[in-house]
Amino acid sequence: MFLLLLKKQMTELFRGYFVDRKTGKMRSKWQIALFIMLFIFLLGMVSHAFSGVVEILGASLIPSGHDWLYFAVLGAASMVIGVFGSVFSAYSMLYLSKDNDLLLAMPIKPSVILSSRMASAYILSIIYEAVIYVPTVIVYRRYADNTAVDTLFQILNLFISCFAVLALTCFFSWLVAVAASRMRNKNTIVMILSLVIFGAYYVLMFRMNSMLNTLGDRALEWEDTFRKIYPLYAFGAGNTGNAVSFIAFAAISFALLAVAVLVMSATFLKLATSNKGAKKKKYKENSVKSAGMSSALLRREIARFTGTPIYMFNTGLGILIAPVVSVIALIKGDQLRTIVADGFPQYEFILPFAVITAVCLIFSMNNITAPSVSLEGKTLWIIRSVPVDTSKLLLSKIKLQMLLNSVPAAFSAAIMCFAFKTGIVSAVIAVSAVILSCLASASAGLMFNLLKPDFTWTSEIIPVKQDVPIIFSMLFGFASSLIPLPAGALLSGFGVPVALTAVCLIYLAAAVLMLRWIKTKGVTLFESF
Amino acid sequence: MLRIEHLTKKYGEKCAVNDLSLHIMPGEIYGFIGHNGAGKTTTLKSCVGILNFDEGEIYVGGISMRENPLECKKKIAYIPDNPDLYDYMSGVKYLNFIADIFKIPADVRRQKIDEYASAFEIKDDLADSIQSYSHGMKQKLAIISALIHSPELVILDEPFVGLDPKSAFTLKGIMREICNSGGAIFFSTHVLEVAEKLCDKIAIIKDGSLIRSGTMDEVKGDASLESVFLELEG
Repeated sequence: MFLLLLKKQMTELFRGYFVDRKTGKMRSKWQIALFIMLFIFLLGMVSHAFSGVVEILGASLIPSGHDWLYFAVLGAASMVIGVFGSVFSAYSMLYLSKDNDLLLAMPIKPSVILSSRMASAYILSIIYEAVIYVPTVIVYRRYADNTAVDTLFQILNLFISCFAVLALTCFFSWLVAVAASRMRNKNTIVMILSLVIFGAYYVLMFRMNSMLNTLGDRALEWEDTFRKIYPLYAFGAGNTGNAVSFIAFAAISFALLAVAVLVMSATFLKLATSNKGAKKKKYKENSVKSAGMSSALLRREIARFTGTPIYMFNTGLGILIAPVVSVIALIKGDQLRTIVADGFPQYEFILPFAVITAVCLIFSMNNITAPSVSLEGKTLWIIRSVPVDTSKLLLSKIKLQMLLNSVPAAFSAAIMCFAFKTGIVSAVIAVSAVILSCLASASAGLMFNLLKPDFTWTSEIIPVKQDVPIIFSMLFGFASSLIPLPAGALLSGFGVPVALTAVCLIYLAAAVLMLRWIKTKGVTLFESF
Repeated sequence: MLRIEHLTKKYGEKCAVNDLSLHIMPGEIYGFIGHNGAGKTTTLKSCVGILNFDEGEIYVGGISMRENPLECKKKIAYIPDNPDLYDYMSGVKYLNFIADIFKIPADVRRQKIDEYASAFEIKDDLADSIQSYSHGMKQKLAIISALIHSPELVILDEPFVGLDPKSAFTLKGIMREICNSGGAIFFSTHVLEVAEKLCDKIAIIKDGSLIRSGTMDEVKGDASLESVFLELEG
């Protein structure tokens, strides 16, 4: 039974790679290979982003004999990413799946349902953790002589540490479920806890970043600190071939998992079926108000976005990060400018382009349009049966992303330009480029979702976090963020304003082309769903 | 009011509806019966513009659904068999949304909501989130949202499933009122007793093809609708 349910979970998670969700037919071998390669490419890109730090740490810690500290520090970082990256996916998968009632009504033990869902969360945590863990092991092999035992322990420790990550992920998602079960409004509590957890994540990552900067100089001091956190020491030492530490870490991980399974099994049925009901609201006749069609469509998109915490936090995080980065830029603007000046003598030319890239990178996480068609799900009949111009409907999805992204993105770009003293002309064009980039990203997300919609999900986390359009949309975001730097370098001879205007034109052209596609082929596709 | 001419709809190799023709006149309640998978929902969804069809034509008030779907949809209301509504909205927000789409003035929609929400005894629940609604309450909300723009043609898929007896009675009354004021009703049902009592005309579909249609007397004669249906389905 467990294997049967696990197969169902895996099918839900990865079906989009093998089956065309629109037609229900198997993809061709080439398409499957392409999707898998793209997924691996995306993971590789994220992994590559971390590899710089890993390389610096490896170069300073491994040759000086602090091997276990190297693994302990990076292991801690990968576990933090594993836990925080999958906590809300796990919550959604474990407690909010739309087939909970169906499965619980069958002769299946709740613990088996729970275990199969935990197995899915385990696979997700392996993917998240591998993003740092793989470059960590690769860099280690470059600086140290690895025995066969070292290699074996390093491979096994990825899977073992993911059990610890799974235990912590499940523990956090259990806390969210317990809190949600005690509140009348589940969305509010999930939203508050999401903010707290994401806040904690960024504080932790920020501190970790400061720690990494000083690690090379204060290795002995950090060794003392990490030795006190025994599980991390055991993980680090185990990876360098210490069998006792390896066994100890495995025992700790399995013990943590056992506790998590026990606690969750005892409460799963209650939490998965809890419903305190919302507080009764009084209907007032003056709440009946009229608005125009475009406004109604936009308000519908806003209601879905704000009423679905998973959607909001997985596709709108950049809105929260942008002001933080802007403030940091404002405080450390001079310092950063000096760093750029040392690295790039023509820094005055590079800075506005770097600002566009930085802001676009932050907002490449905000793929609000990418799951917006799939999220229509089983309610698609409503919009298909009323007299709505499909292009207006699709435009309302782009409007939402523009409404939420363009203002904070423009604000961030303006602040950064001010902090880096780029000059008013460059700042105005850079802000325009950022807004146009937002338009291109919103159009790209919608286009990808129109091409690869999924209306058969049982948990919103699938279209929001795992489906092909989200991955394509992120790739587009990353790629388009990188345009300003080479474009600026190529056109440097014409002067900064001209080069910046060229970047604007690239984004504008991309946006216009995709919007034209959406208004023609996109509309036809939507009307055929 | 609704003219279906040689409608054919295929899902890949499978022909869900095959060369189906029907004509529903103003003032008629037209019942549509058939076994599970016979093609009833596919036909109804094609009539309201949810599904594109492969061959044939559908006219609503003389307007082609293929050529001018928006104008057709302005005249139609559709209530599906399983009303999946926007869980992230409250009942009144959902009704406001639908009324905005149909451009219904505030005072008219207020009067309609008041009238139908009172009739279906759901007025006190309108401010609550749809997420908290039972299946029957969602069905009632879907019905109210369908009636809010005074449609000329109402298409309903299994409308009585999930409704309590009083609401089912209310809905039957509303269906008759719509027809008396020149509108038309086209609905599918498995409850043959309801079809027999309520419908002016009836159509029986089997494996995507129409096997009998006409007035109740033409279809069943002196026998019961159930015995005729079972014989035809045989």
